[in-house]
Amino acid sequence: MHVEVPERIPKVEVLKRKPDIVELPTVVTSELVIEPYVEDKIVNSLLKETKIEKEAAVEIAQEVRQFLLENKIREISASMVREICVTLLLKRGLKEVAEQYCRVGLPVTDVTQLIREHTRENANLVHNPETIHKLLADAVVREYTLTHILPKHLAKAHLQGLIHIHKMDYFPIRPYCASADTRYFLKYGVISDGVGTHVAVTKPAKHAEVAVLHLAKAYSALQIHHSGAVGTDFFNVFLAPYVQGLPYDRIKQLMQMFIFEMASMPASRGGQVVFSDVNFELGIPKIVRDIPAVLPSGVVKEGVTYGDFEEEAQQIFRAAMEVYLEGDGAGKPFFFPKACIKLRREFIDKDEYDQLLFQAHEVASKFGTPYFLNLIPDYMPDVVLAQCCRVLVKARKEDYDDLVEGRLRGGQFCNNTVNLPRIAYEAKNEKEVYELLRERMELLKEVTFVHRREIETRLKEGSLPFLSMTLDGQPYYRMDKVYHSIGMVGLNDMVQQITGYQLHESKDAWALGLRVVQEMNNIAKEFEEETGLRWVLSQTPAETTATRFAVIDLRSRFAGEAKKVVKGDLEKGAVYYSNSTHVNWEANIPLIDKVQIEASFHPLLDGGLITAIYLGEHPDPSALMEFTKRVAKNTLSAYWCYSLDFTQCRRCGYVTIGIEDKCAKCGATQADLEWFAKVVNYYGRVKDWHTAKQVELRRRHRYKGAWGWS
Amino acid sequence: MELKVFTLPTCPNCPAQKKIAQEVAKKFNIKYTEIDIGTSEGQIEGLIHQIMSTPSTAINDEVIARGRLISKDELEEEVRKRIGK
Repeated sequence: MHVEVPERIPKVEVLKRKPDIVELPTVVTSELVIEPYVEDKIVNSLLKETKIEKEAAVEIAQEVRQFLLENKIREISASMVREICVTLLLKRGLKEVAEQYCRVGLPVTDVTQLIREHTRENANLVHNPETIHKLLADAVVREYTLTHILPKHLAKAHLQGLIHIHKMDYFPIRPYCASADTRYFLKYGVISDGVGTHVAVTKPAKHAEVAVLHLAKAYSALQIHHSGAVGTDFFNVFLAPYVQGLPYDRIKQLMQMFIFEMASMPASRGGQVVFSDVNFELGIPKIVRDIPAVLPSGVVKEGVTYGDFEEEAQQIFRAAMEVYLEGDGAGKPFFFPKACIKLRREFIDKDEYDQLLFQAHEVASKFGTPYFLNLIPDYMPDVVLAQCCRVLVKARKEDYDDLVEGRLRGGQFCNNTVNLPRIAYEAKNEKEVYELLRERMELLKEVTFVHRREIETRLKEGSLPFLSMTLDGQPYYRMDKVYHSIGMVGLNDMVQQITGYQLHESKDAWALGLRVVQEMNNIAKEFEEETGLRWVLSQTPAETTATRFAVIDLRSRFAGEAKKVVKGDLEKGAVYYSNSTHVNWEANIPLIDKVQIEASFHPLLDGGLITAIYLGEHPDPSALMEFTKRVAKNTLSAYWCYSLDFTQCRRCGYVTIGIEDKCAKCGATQADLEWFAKVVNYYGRVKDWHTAKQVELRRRHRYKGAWGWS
Repeated sequence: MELKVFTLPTCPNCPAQKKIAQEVAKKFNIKYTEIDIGTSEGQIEGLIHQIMSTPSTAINDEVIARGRLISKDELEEEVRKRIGK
């Protein structure tokens, strides 16, 4: 219900009426009404909200009255009365009742700060009215989750830094990442509120322009129901029938429209753009060639399949790459939608597809925009969606009906993280490492079930209306099809603690790292058998977690051990652990060694992974493409991207590669410069990053002229 | 020099690959190792060599056939090239 809030709360004096007992104060209630003090209200609310005995509730209310009288308080807010109650409950030793009765919220100073200052927790956030609201709400939900949803032992494990529960600000109200099937929206149109009562109901698009706009709206609707990213698979394949017969310049215009829409529409939480991913194919892969195509107006005609639209799919690809190559109006790369290019054995080394792949490498060389998803190794299935910073959604055999029927949707329900270095500090030997690993993963399993229970309840209550749609006869969100992910931070630092060497410094350290992740993978498989749900292992993006764990460990009884392996700048307190299973980003080792070490973990990480290759130059696109192909054919690497950093001068507009402290064109210095880089595999404004991440950025090893194989 | 063959008990081409590799190893008097990537240790050795499919063959740490049968002639040639180095 929408409650109209008065612009100004009437002053207490204007309501001077005669209360029953003159000495008692008036109370400003949570509905912003001034009321006389009524003792029963305290008794009733205590009885309603907590498990207190009636006698104790009455006594507490009397004590509150006493307190107010003794201290001559004449005006008070209901929230302060509640705080007095909580204090008195604690004094009586009724801690549990106090916890049930307390408020969750923010001190005034924090609200003032959030309204006035910027946050650096998430590099996507711009300081704007929506962000302020988001951050205020985040703080309330985060505390509520920690104190009132999670059992105490799980909250404690998070607070002690044994595990990290991600997206706690959305824990009781949203699942994590959405993978979507564009055919759903092409077939049924988009009802962006999920029910059609608050928005216009659309019919399936007849024209390409409308189809593209529908998809942008579907992304946005999904985003406000999820805490993570939104991605779609076979994007250019499923859109191909809509551009049939259109001249190429119209197709280019369409892609320009879509990319700009996704890159600039402030439709996500806190006025961010949607964290969007688009997966592109170089042609129509065999796996979808014979599937009946969804045609304009959402119809399906007998005998018309996606195999009939290869030329159109390739034109969409070409157009999108041209748009990406041009960059935005300021000459910057597009941060979103992230473009993922799939590499398949059926297309590799064939001229027709190589031309498109080359285009993708022109973009990679100039801007680092495309990501490469490698389906060539035997262990990779044919249907994989890449999204978010590194989430992979691998379809399982039982999902192939969904591929045919246009129901390729779901995504990763959650991803929570184990602090690996902490385990190394605690364990006396390798056997204990595995025991602790199991213990921590069991904690994350419990967290996941609490989260599932919350979301199942929200779905029943209708609080996730877009996910409760049943347009195709099934609930949109299928709790049995989503993936529950467990991630890790600091594998490199863990093996360094145990062996004395980092992953790239010794084969023994590398093998130990593999044994740890192998064990995690085995445990995840056991969870799957035990629960009947889908459990996967993923790299954690760890935008803040890598620093949070390091800081907590440095303050713990393991500070001595932690000091030896944390990375960053200890003096400045800008510290972090190595990200997930990655090689230390500072390591100056041959590129192929880095790729191979990281790739060796990829088959064990079913739910998400990426190798980030930081470039210190714009490489020759042909050489870069050859490098891509060799990685694709000769390593187990499943997913990687080439990343550049940019400096943009706000004074003269000049954009150049690298993190520069001075504009090469007009000489402007730091205050006039903007830096853009990939924080954890997606582009963002560097000045929004937290300090430790900025230190890490400066230390990343960047590759130049490394496009040969040796 | 060491000849390594990565195998799985279920792989149809593995017995033939093992036989070829053993013969080549004997002929050139080099070390021969079989690695079953179905075991925990073998999987790790496979991953380090970027191998998840069988049969695969490596000379020292260099993979010369990934997920395919390499003929005796071809394998001998690969060994000869490296002995000549």
